[in-house]
Amino acid sequence: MTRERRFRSIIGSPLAPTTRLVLGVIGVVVVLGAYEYYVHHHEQSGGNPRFSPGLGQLWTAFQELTDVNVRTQTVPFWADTTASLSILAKGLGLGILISSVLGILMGVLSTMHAMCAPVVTAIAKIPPTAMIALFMVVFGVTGDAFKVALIVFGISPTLAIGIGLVARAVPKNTIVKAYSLGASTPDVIVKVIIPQIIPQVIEMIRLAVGPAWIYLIAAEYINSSEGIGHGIVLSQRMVRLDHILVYLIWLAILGTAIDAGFHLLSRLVAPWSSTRKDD
Amino acid sequence: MTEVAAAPAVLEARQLGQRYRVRGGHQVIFEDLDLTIAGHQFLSLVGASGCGKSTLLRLVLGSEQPWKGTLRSNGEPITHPDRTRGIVFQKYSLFPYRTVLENVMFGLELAQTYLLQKWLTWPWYRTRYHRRFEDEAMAHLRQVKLHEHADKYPHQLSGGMQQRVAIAQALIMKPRILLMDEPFGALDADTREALQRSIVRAFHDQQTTVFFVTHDLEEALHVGNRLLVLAKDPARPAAGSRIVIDQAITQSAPIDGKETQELLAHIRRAGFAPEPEA
Repeated sequence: MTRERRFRSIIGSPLAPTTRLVLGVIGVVVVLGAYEYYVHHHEQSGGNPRFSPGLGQLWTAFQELTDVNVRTQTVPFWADTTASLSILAKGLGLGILISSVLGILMGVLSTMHAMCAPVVTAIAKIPPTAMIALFMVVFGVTGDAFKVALIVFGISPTLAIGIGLVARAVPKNTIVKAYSLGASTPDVIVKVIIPQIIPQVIEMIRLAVGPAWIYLIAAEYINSSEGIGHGIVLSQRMVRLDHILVYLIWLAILGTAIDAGFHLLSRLVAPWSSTRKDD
Repeated sequence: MTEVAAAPAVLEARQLGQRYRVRGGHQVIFEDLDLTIAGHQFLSLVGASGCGKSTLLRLVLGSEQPWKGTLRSNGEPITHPDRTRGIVFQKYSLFPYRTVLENVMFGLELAQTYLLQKWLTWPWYRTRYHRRFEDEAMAHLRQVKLHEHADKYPHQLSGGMQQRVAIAQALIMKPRILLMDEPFGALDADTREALQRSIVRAFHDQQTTVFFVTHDLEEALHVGNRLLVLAKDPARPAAGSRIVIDQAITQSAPIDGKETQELLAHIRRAGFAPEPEA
């Protein structure tokens, strides 16, 4: 009588989509449950309840934050969110524009690359958090300019180098083929190189959003009159841990939504790309 | 008596030489190469791996510059790839982000419209150019029996189908020379045979000269009407390759015919395992 071998899971076994979804939900539930358990344990052992807001208290805190401020007749929570997102957008937009132009020039023209790459690589090594002081002096502490500049200088060097790299990695055969069909160099840049690098560039931009948030929040912590970072700092001064946690969860939600937006963008713009794996 | 000026050769190489930089100096690939292609010829270039046949093709294409000598097409020196010399590579032959039809239309768009004209003036562009390009491209796809796959992307096609599209993409521009760098090397035997027949047919339909590089001796004998064999002298490996055979052959002759078998034996002696020169 033969013994049946038990199925052993090997690396990379596929999962059915429903299984994947259920496991994901279980993951979130486990984390929330563990947190609730910690809260319960903390209160039982006599800790200050201010330092262990349970999920119910977090919900109440959210409702407080989204209440209309009687004096200004606005809801600071939404106003802060809009302010932060608009600065993020400006910083990302300007950064992407500068990086794309610089990156493509570096990728296509060897002379540009030889001249710019060492400098850009060196600047990329300066932690943008150290540059905060520079921008505060140059742009003044009030206003948006210093926050936007910080984001731009934070993401541009790495993004430019990345774009240059993928531009140079375009299969040379496609470029030569284009020339042999009558293309001029501008034709090659617009019709051959750019279309082939778009999926990877979208990926790199998606990865630059994380650091952009870091620089934004850091700038808002230091000196700002609005924005999510500002809201967090206010809550910290009033020692409202529940407010802080609500802001953090909100940042997680915003970040995930932005990520999903990029995923959708990639699917729309480059359906032919093989960099999209099933995630 | 009036002298009739000879028409400039489709390809003329004089004393052509190429070398690459290697550790400790240079490696000469070939030197003092002379070659003339006068008219509507299907030239098969064979040689062992590393003999320089792909190098010669790249020099003719213009994607590489020679070390010595001159290379002219129609009297004009070759400096960079252009419309007069089409190319079909072994890999990465098509633009992956364009459909089959758009791939074949690519050259037409470049020739007859300016950059971004499609984006800036779409309504006029569509009626004036786009429909015409589509019709012409479809006609070429019909000739290679791929018209049903016009809206597919290259990655959805098999290797043989991709190469057929690449050939249509190159031929639609009516180049003076069609260069082919081991185009069927990555395909299975049946597909290879079918494509060999189709390229010979296309050669007879259009007045293009074909410059076909391969390491497969039988393929070279089957498709070409002129055979070129490039080989190194084993006694002097540093001297680079020379053309050891340059003769007319019968296109599409049966492989097991006596003539072809004798030729094969001769080539194998002279080209692939030559005797050291006395």
